[in-house]
Amino acid sequence: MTEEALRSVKVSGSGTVAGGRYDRVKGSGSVRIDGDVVAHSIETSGSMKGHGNLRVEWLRSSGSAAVEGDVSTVRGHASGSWRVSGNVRIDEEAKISGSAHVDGSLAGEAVVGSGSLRVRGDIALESLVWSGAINCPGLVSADTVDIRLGGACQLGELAGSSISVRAGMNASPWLAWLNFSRTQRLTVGEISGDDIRLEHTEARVVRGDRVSIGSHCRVDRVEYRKDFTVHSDAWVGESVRVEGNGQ
Amino acid sequence: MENYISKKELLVETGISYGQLYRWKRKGLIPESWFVRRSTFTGQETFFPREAILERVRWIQGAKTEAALDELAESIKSSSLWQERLPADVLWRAAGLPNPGSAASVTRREFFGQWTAHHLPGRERPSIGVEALAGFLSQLPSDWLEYPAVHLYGVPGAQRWTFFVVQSPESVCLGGDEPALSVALGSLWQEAKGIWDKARMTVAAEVKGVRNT
Repeated sequence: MTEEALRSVKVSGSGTVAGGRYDRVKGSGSVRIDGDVVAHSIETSGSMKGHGNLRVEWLRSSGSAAVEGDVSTVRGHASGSWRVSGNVRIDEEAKISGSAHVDGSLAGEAVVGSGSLRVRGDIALESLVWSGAINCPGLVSADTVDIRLGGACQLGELAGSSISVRAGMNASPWLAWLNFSRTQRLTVGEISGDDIRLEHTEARVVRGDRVSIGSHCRVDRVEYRKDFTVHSDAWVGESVRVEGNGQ
Repeated sequence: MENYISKKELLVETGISYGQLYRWKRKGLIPESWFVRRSTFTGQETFFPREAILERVRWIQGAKTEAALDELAESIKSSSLWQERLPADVLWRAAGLPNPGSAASVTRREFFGQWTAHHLPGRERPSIGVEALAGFLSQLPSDWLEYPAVHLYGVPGAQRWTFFVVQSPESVCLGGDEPALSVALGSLWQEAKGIWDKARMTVAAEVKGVRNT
């Protein structure tokens, strides 16, 4: 195999791909990747197990994928279940549906997804749009954060320019009757941003230029610089206008 | 604690927004280690080394082009070890030496340069500028200083000294006389590293003891 003419591999059924440089890696069924792989694309359906780092331009997987190592991709599309033991880097955009579990950090440009996202390290993106459950004990920082709650979410710290946390839609009156909204909750230590709009959020401190505390929120302390509103059924321990020279 | 500034004070003082601060952090323009989380009466609060962060924010605000910022981010990434900053008084107290400069805080590379200069053979010391040597050492890839046998040589010239560093003295063949200056940096660095860690622990204890009002 030379670098000038990268070869492609295709696995159907069950097979193992050795580490190395490839043009395209395509697998359906049960695929095992042994070693570090650098490729233009990896596309798998079914089950994929990687033992090594993956660096690709395009990553697509449906079904279950578990990688023991770091994953770096320009663009990606994952549906089903993803588990990465190392760090994940997204250079442009990743679309995720299902469950994603990252033991390291998640960094890069944009992640759009729904389902369950669990990151043990920090999340540092330009844009994070997530609908469902999201859990990260560290710092979640993104220029734009848009979370549509679906279940219990817990974050260590949330920071960015524009932060929006909204309650998810109740799919049916049955769920509303079961008081489903109680389980739609974000618990976070501190939120700091420029424009912050929250619903169903419990936070110790919220700091921002413009802060809107919506329904079902419980915030111990709000510090704002320009504007502050609070919904009638939210609870705010204290709100303080902080002097500052703004932008 | 006067050496540290809280996140909200920083924003008020510099006029930047939370979004900008975290954007620069993600870009690598503000090192991760400068974000120090400590408990205060309002819960957790982020503090920064005051002088370093104010200088950095002003620099970023003054940077004319995006390329200059990228260059800075790159240099921070490759030398984050060198960029760490501690209060000078705590550091030199830990070293048991008088503070040779007037700055309130010192980066790791400045300290290493000054420490090395302080431990040069006595007769050579006056003619070698501390700044010149510290400046030279700052150009080194930081992982070089992890090599135990790393060695510094210096040759005096008409105007200034010429320095060179090798990963181990065996790796060079020196013709003629020994260079005027020959210092094993590895052991010096180990000692400096111990002092640095001790000072860092002192600072961490100080910060922990503070209750913001």
